[in-house]
Amino acid sequence: MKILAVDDDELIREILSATLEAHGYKDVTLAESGEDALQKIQASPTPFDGFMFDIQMPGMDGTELCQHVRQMEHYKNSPVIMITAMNNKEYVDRAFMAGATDYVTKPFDTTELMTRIRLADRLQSEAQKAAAAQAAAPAAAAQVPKPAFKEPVTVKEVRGVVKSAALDNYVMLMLEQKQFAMGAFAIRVPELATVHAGSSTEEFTYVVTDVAEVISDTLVGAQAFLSYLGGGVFVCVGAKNKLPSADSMHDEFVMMLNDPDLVYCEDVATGFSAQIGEVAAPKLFEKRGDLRFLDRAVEKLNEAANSGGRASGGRSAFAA
Amino acid sequence: MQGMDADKAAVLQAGLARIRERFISSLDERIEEFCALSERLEDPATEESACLEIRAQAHKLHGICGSVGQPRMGALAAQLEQHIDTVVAGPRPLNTDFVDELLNALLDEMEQNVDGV
Repeated sequence: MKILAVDDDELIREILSATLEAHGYKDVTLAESGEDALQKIQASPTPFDGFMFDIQMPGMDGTELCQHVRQMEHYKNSPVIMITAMNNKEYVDRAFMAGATDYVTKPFDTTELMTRIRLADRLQSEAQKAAAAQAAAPAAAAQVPKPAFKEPVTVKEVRGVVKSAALDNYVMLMLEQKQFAMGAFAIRVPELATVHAGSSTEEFTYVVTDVAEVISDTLVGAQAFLSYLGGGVFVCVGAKNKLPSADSMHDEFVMMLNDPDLVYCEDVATGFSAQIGEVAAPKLFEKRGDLRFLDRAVEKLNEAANSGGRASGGRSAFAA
Repeated sequence: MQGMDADKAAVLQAGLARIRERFISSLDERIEEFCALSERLEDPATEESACLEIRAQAHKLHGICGSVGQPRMGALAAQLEQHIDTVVAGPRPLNTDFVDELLNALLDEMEQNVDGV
């Protein structure tokens, strides 16, 4: 795995380099600033497989650097691990909003650091294998059947929307640091099933993205993150006291969903409704890093919808 | 160390030991920088920029200290950093009295480590 590690502190760069090399990651490039990193990315004869960016750096900080990297076609889905001393939640929020996928905290715990790197390595390897298979047999790839409705689709470039794995990483960081009382709630838009049945994968993804944008707009001010789990279900996470209640957001949310300027499906004419669950929060006895409250958010959604078993079992029911 | 053979672990430990030594030798310079900034804290015209620079230096120290066997120094640096965040978010003129106190506590800790060498 070819890694670019960026930190303005020379000694931190050396610690990263020594630790990664000792664990078999010998292809490590170091950069001392965001600007230096961009130059090294441009100059590199072969692309990097993963990145580690310090969040707080003078000049271009890690978040801005992450935004630049995400704009490069080759690095749209590359693992980006943010390095943080975790003293300011705003920095971390901005980093995940900018497309970070994971984090490590300073001072480094070697075991934790290597766990994060190996996870990024595995994800990148799988992505590369899938891309290689698609390149080798483009005709076969074109005939790939439409993903099932319960599968998640990737929503891009909507404020606060991250992939499910990145959402889990963000929540773990916040729980670890006890930054604030967290909460989560889930939303289902049942008519997405009709849209999925009657449209192409591309069109369905557009509509899911539109819905995500409406949720994101509804949550402005709550500083929340959200992820599309599949099955028409979104999960939203943020500071518990800032998340809206189901009752308070329902009517405006549905009105926005039915504004064709905001959500539009070319292939299927349908109105939209919404089921919104109550907020779930971590329980006192649950250990740090325990993400079961996210599953409970989905369970509360199912209770609210009174679906009679239409969907159950928490987030795993929607996992790919 | 987990997932490493003994030779590689020894090489890593030796490398980290060298980094720790270099950190200790960098302390004199870091102390001088803090002292210069501390003087600028006395002047109302420069106190805010001095505060922000002290914060940036404290942030770097906070980030590295735990990895070079200096948790107490790291904790003091973190405390200073957090306090400056609170101060600069507050009303003007800034009240930097406690910034000064925290900085002095950090400088004491740094000097003890230099003396220890």
